[in-house]
Amino acid sequence: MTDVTRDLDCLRRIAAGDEAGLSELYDRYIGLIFPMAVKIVGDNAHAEDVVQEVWMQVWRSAPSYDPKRGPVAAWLLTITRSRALDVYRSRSARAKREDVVAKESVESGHDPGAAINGARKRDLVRRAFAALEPKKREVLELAYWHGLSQSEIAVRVGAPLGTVKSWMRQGLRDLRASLPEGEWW
Amino acid sequence: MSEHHEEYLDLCAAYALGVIDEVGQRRLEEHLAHGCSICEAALADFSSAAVAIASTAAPAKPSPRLRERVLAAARSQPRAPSLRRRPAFVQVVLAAASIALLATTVTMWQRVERMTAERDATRVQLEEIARELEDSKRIERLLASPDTDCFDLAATGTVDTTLSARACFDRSSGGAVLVFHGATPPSGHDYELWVLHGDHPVSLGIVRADASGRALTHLDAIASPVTVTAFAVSLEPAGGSTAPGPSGPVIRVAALEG
Repeated sequence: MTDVTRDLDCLRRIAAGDEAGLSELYDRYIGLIFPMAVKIVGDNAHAEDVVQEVWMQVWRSAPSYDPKRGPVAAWLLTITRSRALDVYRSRSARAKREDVVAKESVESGHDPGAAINGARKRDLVRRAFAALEPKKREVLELAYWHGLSQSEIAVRVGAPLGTVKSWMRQGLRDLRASLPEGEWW
Repeated sequence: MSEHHEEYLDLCAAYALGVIDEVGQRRLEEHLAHGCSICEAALADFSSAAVAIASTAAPAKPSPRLRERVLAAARSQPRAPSLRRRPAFVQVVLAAASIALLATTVTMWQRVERMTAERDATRVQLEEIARELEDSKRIERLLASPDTDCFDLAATGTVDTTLSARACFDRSSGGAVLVFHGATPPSGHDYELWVLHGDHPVSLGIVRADASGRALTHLDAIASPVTVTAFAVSLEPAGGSTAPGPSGPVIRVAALEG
């Protein structure tokens, strides 16, 4: 069974009310979604609240998952990011978050062993992301980590909206092209 | 199959990054509901790239208690009747039928998914019809207005094209309707519509034509209609100009009397 079919099997079991399906999916992806929640909300305690809400949403809405809209990992991360940004915006945690982001940037060489699929893949992704053209990387970061709309990004970077859209699309395409084919995460 | 435009790829990117707005999401979902292998492939690629961005976050581990908290919360909100709570004889019967049950569950799942998709597609179509009807009424009112002038956009001769364009513009309300024929741009290009305020061009978007090259653009209210001096169409790279004004040749233009 591939990772994709295993994920779909978990979601089918969750949709049928099978707690073991939720447990298996939790173990597979907590290493990906928890660091994301921490990075956005700024601390572990609030990140744990976010993650609990995420899994409750997965529990309730597993039948609504549509494989045509992207892999299960992307779906989980979309939910996580949305919840985390809501919490971040509502609790004025900007200062804390900036601390975390700043700390990460100076610790880029530290042990990434806790990442879901090991240090090698994590380093590969980091290198690929760092290798993007600066403008493309900037718009992706502003959109993904700061939750800014394309119009807000255009104002922030001082570029036409069409250019921002273009950078965003090309940035994602370049990043994907620099990663291995198939289920790399 | 829905016709693919480069613009949909921008929507796919915004969707994968979670920054798509409501209107964009509705347009993309409507497009995907008709089937577009290019956008489906792009969504898969862009979503994978978004996962890559997420995985650049510094490693962090939740407390071991979180897992139990999550499972306990799920337990308190059962989604379906739990087999464990049923009498033993029911479990025996269900166990004997487990293979058939599994197959039925999968089939039902697929059926529900299909029905949900069909229902959503029907709803989108109904909304589209309602929008078109409302749009028709507004166009009718605009054309009936005594303040509306109709005129052709003349060829500039810069590019040999089959495109023809006629506009009706109500300077008092800012409403405008533009009808295009032969709007089939060369491969890798789009026609972009512009309005000029003095010498300042403002894009009114890409001209989206049907398979026969016909297009209708209806604008409820162009901003500052009293300062409009001209309408123009330019030939641009696919997706439109990335500059503040036309980046390609202007091929049709109509200057208005002040």
